[in-house]
Amino acid sequence: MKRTPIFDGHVEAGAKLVDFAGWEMPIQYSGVVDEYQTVRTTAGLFDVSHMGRVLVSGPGVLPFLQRVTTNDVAKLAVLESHYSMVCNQRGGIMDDIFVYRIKPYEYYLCVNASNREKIVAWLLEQAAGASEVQICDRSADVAQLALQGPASRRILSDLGVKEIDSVKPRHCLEASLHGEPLLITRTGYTGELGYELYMAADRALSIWKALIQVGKSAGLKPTGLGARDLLRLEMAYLLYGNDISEDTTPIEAGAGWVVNFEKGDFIGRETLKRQKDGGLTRRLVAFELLQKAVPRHGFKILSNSQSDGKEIGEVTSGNLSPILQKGIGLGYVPPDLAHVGASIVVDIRGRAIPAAVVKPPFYKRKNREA
Amino acid sequence: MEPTNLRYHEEHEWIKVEGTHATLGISNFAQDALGDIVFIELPKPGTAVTVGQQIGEVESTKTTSSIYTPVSGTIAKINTDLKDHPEVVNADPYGKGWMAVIELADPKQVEGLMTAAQYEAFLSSHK
Repeated sequence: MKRTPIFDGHVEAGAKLVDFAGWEMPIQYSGVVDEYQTVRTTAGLFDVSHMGRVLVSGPGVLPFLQRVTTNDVAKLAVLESHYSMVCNQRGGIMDDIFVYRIKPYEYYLCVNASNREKIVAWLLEQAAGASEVQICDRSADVAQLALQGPASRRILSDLGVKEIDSVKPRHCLEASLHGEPLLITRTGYTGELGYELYMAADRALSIWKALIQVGKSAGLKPTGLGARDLLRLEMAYLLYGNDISEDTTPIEAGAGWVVNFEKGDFIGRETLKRQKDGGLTRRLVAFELLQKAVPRHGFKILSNSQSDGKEIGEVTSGNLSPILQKGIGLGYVPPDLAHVGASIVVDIRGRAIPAAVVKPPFYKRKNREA
Repeated sequence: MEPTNLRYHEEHEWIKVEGTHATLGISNFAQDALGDIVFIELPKPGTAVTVGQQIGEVESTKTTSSIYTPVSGTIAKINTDLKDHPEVVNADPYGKGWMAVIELADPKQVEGLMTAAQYEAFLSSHK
């Protein structure tokens, strides 16, 4: 299994390690619920170096990214970022990504660990012949940490990053720490105030340790992938491989807001436009169970038993929400049930548990800092 | 070290026999493997159960696991504290994290279960 530059830090912190997309990663340290609460109330530090970081640059980079991603890259000013999708010709999602414009002709794509090789190969294939675009997989020499939670701003400030106060959501800051460059972006996967930090791989462990040290008094703890999954689910953020795949499209997944049809042609546009104009056969929804039970990936969604109780879809993500103390989930249903208040049923190992379609996210952050 | 006054089952339940009744819970190994327990479903008192039957479920942040009874009998009592505090099973699996008391149909069934030493050997052979 592959290891990130933070590996020794995980072992030292007593992490429980698991295989995640070929990486030996911390699923938890103190416990999933405790780490979840830490991020919701103070701050958690995640190692997300297993994710892929691909630098795309050159004079032709803008038209290239406009063609291979669904969002409108022309709207990004330097040091801004947005969520986007890479689709195949059929509109199927090859990956959901974050695009950071670092310099006028230089963009970082943050891609899922499980899709990194596929996306790099796809980008190279799409760029073939276009000499004005360079694609460079920087995943191995750049590490990535996510500092998330209401205390995260104060911790970065305490660490000496005084300019952090001025960084707006989805904006980036080129900072320096102990004389070394550090890219800080106000992004994350938790729904809390939070930042992601990009740094040279050989500096990553010392920055991890410095953050843990400085953040201790503010309640900072290392947090693992288990807490991350609960946090993102409460925000109804999509997880590749669970909620989306090459067999689903951004329109079906409710991510139409990252698909821009006005920017010109892009890969997958035809299918996505047809779906947007009324050709949908299923739609991802957020739902809450009306009795205490826990929905899981792969469970069947049935129509309301008062009609006929037949199978109409599938749960793609589910868990017990610590904050709501209810079973919550995401899943695909026919378009006529994809509205808030629609009544569905989840088959939980043979028991028909009633559920209601709700407006995501499940969790709404209060405007606070710790 | 597992408590020596208990008997253990391959599905990682433990049983503590007191006269005609047996208290049931899940082992320390089971709670650790499950991770944070968030919800437990237990049978209703009065339910007749037979050896090997699934009688409930433990939901953790990671996964769902079934609770099997290693003995036959009738559910005499369940631990209602677990409804609001399922995390007690993580903290104290052999004490406050007990799940149910079963009135034994056949106390001899307990003899077929593993002792603490046998269970420890079983765990190390399955690592």
